[in-house]
Amino acid sequence: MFNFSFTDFQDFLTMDGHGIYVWTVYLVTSILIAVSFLIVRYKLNVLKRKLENASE
Amino acid sequence: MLTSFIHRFSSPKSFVEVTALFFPYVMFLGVSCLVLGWVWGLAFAPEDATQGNSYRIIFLHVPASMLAQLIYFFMSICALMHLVWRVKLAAYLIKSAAPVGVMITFIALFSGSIWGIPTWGTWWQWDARITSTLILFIMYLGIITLHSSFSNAEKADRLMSILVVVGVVNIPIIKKSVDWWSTLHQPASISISEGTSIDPSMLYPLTISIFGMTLTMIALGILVSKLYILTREKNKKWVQAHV
Repeated sequence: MFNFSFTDFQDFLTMDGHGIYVWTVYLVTSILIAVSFLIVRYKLNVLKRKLENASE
Repeated sequence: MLTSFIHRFSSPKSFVEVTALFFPYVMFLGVSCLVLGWVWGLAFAPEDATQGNSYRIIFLHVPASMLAQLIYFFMSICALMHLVWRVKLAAYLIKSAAPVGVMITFIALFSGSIWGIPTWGTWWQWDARITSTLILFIMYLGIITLHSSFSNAEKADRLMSILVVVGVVNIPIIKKSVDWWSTLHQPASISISEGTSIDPSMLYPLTISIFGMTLTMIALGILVSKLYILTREKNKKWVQAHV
């Protein structure tokens, strides 16, 4: 079950010509999810700072 | 009794405090499972006999599509709770879940479109499943826009809840579209009633990816809801104490 499905790393990247589709989807999704977390984290920090300043 | 239980455990303050405890574990488990499922699916699952390697998009597309519908279903339950029992937190959760829904529905549509190029020879088709998913995406955007267009937040919550309840009719349409109409999109490969038609070597990484994506989106939802609750209740004493 855990046998590498490709002959080498080059084959893994190209995936018989399908690599461009597969990798694009995974890359865009990973970036979207990561950026969403970062934006929300940033906004939370800004809000917390604002609230802290307001309470002082 | 049910009403008092709901009101007691659904205060925004308790929600923020309880979810803060779970957040690191949900986040860690979610991302770990997602990475494991994707690596397994991309590198170790066997090649599909008919679709070749392009089928590997399934480990991302199926979790995203399932979650796009699941998040809306969750929002509709919250909308009912808000309309029937006037639970304030339920409205906050709808408002927080909607942007997560937009993102995951976009991912489902985008991955499906890219997958369509090598498989169907086209990136878009006005097919029942794809069109109903596009309607879901527009519904999410409509919910966010509707809420933002009112200056009275309570009125916005109520109208948003009504729109969510009306829009839930689209969920069974998406689910059953591949059975009711002759579509380009393939029928469901995993069904609770009919089991699965996927080989275990592909099913295991897919299940792990679904689990991982669900937990990751729950983690994102927790963060977004915390941001929204703190913004909305910023004048309350508990928020000042919390920060």
